[in-house]
Amino acid sequence: MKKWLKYSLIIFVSCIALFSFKQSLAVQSRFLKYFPSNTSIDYERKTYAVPVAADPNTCQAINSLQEGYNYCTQCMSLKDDCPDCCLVDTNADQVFDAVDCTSEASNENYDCDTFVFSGDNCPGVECPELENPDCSNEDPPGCQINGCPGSDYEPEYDSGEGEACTKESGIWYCTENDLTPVDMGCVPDPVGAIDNYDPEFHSDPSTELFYQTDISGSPPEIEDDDPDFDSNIADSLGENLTSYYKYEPSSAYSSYISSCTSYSNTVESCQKRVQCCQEGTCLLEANPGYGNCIQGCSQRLAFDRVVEVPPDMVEKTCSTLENADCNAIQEEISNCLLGSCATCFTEIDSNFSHDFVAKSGESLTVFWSILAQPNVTPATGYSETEAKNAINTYFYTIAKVINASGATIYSSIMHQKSFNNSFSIFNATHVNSVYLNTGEEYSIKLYYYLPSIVNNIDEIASIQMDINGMEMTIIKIRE
Amino acid sequence: MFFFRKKSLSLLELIVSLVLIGIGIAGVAGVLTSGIYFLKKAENKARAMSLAYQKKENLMAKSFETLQTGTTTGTEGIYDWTINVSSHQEGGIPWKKAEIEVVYPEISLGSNQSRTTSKVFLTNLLAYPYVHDESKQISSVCDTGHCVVRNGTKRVIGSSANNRLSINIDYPVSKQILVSYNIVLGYGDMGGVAATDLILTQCYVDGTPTSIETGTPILTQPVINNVVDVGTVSAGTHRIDIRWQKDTSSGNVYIKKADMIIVAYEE
Repeated sequence: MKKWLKYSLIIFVSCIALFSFKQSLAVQSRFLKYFPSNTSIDYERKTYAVPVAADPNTCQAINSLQEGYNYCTQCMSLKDDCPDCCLVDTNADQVFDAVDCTSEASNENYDCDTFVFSGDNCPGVECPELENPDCSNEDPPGCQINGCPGSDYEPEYDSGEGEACTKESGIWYCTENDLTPVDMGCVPDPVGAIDNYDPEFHSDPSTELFYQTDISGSPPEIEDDDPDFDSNIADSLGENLTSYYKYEPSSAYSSYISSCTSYSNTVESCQKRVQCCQEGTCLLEANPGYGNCIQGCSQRLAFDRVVEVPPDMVEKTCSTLENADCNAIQEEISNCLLGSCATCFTEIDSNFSHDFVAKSGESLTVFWSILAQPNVTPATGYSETEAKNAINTYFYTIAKVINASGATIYSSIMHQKSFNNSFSIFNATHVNSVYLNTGEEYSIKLYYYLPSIVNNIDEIASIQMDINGMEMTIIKIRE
Repeated sequence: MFFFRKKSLSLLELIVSLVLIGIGIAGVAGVLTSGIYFLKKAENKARAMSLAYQKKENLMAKSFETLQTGTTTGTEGIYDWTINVSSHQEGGIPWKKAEIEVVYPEISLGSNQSRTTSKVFLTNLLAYPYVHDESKQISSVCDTGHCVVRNGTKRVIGSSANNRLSINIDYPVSKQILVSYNIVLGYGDMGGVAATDLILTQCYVDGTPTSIETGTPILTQPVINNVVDVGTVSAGTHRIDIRWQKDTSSGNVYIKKADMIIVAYEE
């Protein structure tokens, strides 16, 4: 009985085991796994303890264009920092433009006459306005005009002595006949600087030097029987007055006043114009002023090489180059980099790539980021700031898809960033499935282009881009 | 004689022996026949399974979008196959089911030799992709004077419906949208444009700005590269486009080359 039970148990367990095994086989054969995912995300990352040095590329196809662009932008920078500050009346309309690098000595518009009145012996002629002039106001300050005689011609009289004068219709009438002007102005130095100046105005003043006189040397007397006698004037000068004297400026004196006023106005305007030009147009931060302006002009003149400006390759120099010309060259560079110059790009790191085998209908979206550090080495005699300011170039990166034979089958639109700001680069591109053949091997790699800087900049600094790390995120999708 | 009688077999013994031998031979023959039958059956099934796998591999080569629904049939040798692809939804999220059936004749083990059929059946499910990408590239679509960035309001980059940085999307579920765009500028007359003047670009969804506005210096940055996250868009049709304008009325800017990439994903 026990033996029978034992054999029965063995047979039962065996049956259960066989049944379970058969069932598992049946499930596996009827229900396979899900279809494989249509999406995969791959990630490549590399950081460098010693940065990869991306040196400037020397690509003949683009070098001349890049040189021209560097030159053009430097020229524009000089013009911006230190524009022409020499005065030229271009249209002969007394509107003075800052358009030329002519030196002060050779430009007649800088040749202002000197002031003739000194503050030492002529109070009120100091010109503080010229030290900080209001350049938006074209009127001269009027400071030296104060040294000229007053144009009022007022005779000097002493009312305490019973003398009196009155002004009627611009002409003075007085009770005395030997008066001289109250304000005879200051003594000009040099004396002959102003036309019509008579030294006797100050050394031996007499009435006839300043006013019209009759044969007796006195101003004409107007008596109460004269038709020109005005009782109102007489009443204003005194009671029961039967005569008074008429003081009209002499032609010599009025001519001097006119000359003096004109001279002062001219000098003041010229000095103000020069001051405004020198201080207002030369904007170098370190030391604004005419000296820097001239230095900037000198640099520009020394910088004056020929640049060919696309599209007609017109030859221009710094004097004639404009921002639009720099743009035209930059556009030609873009054309070049988008087309024939694409070979100028250099692989950043030959050991950094994403290798894959294309599946059918698979497209790629590639995000790439580069951690970079611009490296500027100033030349002897230049500070780092000066060197950085002198660099006006870009750092370009692209992603390429390379097939097994090394041919480029897809190239992204380039990413462009100012060299000095290329510390962080992030961009994306999309590789359509039509570029990829199913079953073939491909690699995604990152390339850069850093223009080699030449001309003046080479004398100021050398550059390279230090690559500290790179990342690629590749999204592969079959849709 | 005794010796002879001792050595010979009787007829009965012979008959019994022959019967036993016959039974033995019949048994062995039966075993052999059964073996051949099972081998043949296994071979047919293996071939049917192989054919089903082959059809499945063909389906696997297709993506969710290209896997067309419907029924297709065919015959290869003794095998009749049927593929049925059907669409389904679960909570608004679509999925597809592919069923592969291979039917073949089976020889029964028995005297009547009557024919029966056997089949193998595979079922697979294809989930809706949770990541999508779309892209559009326009190139040399504008000459100088066209595609000018106008001052005032932003407009879609490009010149005509087919050459605009604009993509229509239609996903059955809501998606997070990441947009990247690259624009290579061309310059016409740039008189009056200052170094500080900008080109402003922004991503719009259904005509509404959905990303931060990005300013790029016109004169010094002839290539605009940007990646923006525009957030979640609901299920259904949407138009995503890149728009721009200048912050100056001066200058003439056009497009040399541009592309736009959309990555839609589910969180």
